[in-house]
Amino acid sequence: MNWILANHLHELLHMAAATFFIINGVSAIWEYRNLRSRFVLSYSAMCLSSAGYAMYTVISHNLPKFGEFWIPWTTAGLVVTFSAAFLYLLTVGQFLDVRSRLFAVSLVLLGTIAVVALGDLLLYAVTQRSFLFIPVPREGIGPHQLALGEGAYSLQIMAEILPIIFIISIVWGVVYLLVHLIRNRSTDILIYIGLFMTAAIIVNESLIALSVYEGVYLLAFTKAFETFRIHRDISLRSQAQLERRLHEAEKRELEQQVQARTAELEAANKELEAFAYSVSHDLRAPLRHIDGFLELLHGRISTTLDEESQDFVNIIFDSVWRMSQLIDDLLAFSRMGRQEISKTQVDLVALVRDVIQELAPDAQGRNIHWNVADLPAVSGDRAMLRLVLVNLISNALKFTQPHQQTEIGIGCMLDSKTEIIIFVRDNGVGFDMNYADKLFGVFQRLHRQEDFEGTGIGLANVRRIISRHGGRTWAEGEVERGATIYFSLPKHNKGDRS
Amino acid sequence: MKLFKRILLVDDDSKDIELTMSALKVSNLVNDIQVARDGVEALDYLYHRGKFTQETDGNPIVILLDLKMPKLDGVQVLKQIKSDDNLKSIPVVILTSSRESKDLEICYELGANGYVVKPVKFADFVETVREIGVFWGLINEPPPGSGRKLS
Repeated sequence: MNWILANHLHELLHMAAATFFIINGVSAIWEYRNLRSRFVLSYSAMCLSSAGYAMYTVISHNLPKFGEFWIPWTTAGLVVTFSAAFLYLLTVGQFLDVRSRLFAVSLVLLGTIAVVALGDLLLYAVTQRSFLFIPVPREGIGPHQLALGEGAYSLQIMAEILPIIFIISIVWGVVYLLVHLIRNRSTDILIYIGLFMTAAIIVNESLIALSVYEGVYLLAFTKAFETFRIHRDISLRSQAQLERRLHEAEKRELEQQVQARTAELEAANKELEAFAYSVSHDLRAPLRHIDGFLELLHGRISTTLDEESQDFVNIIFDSVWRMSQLIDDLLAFSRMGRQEISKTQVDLVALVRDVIQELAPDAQGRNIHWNVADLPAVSGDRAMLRLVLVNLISNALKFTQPHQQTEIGIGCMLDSKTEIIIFVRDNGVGFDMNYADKLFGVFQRLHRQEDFEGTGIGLANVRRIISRHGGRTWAEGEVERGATIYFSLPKHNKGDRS
Repeated sequence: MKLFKRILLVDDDSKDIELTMSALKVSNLVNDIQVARDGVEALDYLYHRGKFTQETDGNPIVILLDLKMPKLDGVQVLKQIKSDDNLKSIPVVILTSSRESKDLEICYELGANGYVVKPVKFADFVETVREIGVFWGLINEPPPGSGRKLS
């Protein structure tokens, strides 16, 4: 192979290196935006300065005039490399794994060469003689012409030092290759194989000095690139870790919030329980006292009371009794909200039959036409659903009382995919739809106490039980034309064991 | 040898005591009622300490115990009675305003012999107390060591 081809190959190598460095340098700056790692910056600086050097080499090769102003770029390149290595060790070296530390060592090795080269430069400045591969600039001759044999290399020293560097880099590269191959089975090794093959070709063409230098140079930067990639991967991984940690922190926070809420709810529930307990003990006692002492008093004075006074006494007795009922209802309602639901399959037909039986005394002597449809089995708390039916059916009985012919229907609507709708329909006194939403409120009544007895807790209980089952409650009616109370139960209950 | 049957009524509310006493008097079944105004006094009586140091009577035939009281409440008194070998045979009937399931559970767990909710209506209350008196004072045979020997 002639010199010209060798020179072109050399130029091509440098242009490839320059492209490689520019791409890496720019992409490193790009990466810096995301990673904010100082290493990325130093790597970028290293790449761009090296690109500058490689490009200068190509230019100076073709435009020999530049050689006049040539300062030892080789040395400058090595200084940059050394600085980058130093910066690198300073900034991220402490976080690195073994492999990256090995790379750092190789950079320091190059740095050592740079120091030697600087020493050679100083020596040249003093003695006008170079002992290393620093070419002496001459008019019209670029550094690589010098390197190709025209320059004033101190060949003796080169002959001693260069093989050592060559051997070190080859051995280091081979060891690295093997380790890499065994540990990672990575395609990255192709880069090294190509590198060493190129080096071998150049060496065979007797361009020992250059090829070794370029070989080491490229090896170093390829490794730098790889380390950068590793570092980037680590950064990305740590970013992923960071994200995961953030996610976990968020989750923890959420869990804590849930716990806090649960604790709050439990506290509120406890308070409610304590309140109900206190109501149940403390509100009943005074009532008992009123009733008891009024009875005792009445026993003493009943004979002297006129009719009106006797009425007053009776009103007090009635009021006490009513208050007592209200307290009992309120407590039952409160208990209904706190009591745990234990779901089973409930046969509604059997349950309705059971409830009608229980309410038979209220129906006695009345002309009632029961119309019970074929109801499905539902999932729910048997005792609670029983209470719902007791409330609805006894209401139907109560509000149909004034009517001669009573009709009570209990049916279902199964067309919905998500819920089962059950209704209790009567032909009683009904209600004004304008007040339909008041029907389910606690102690809300649409009729006077004298007309229909009750505290107004029944439908409130129904609504509470049904909503605790995940269902809805609503009503339809018309004054004097009956009422229909609907409730729904979800078909697929959460926690449904069936 | 005749036993002087004594009932221990533990209640902090003077009005309740009066009503209970009236009810017991109406039924005229029991000849001696000892009243303790709170849990501490009840235990003092049973252990013959404090102002009851001089007491030499045997155990009451039944204890009517209110639950909600200052200082030691009914549940604590019940616990103490039922964990004492000398007292645990005394029948304890809880006589209280509430039918909270929580109370029912713990009282029976601790070994209460009965749980009666004081009815709000005085007529019912009298009837209830009368029945308690009849059962524990007449029908039921108290454990040995109850009452006081009459000389």
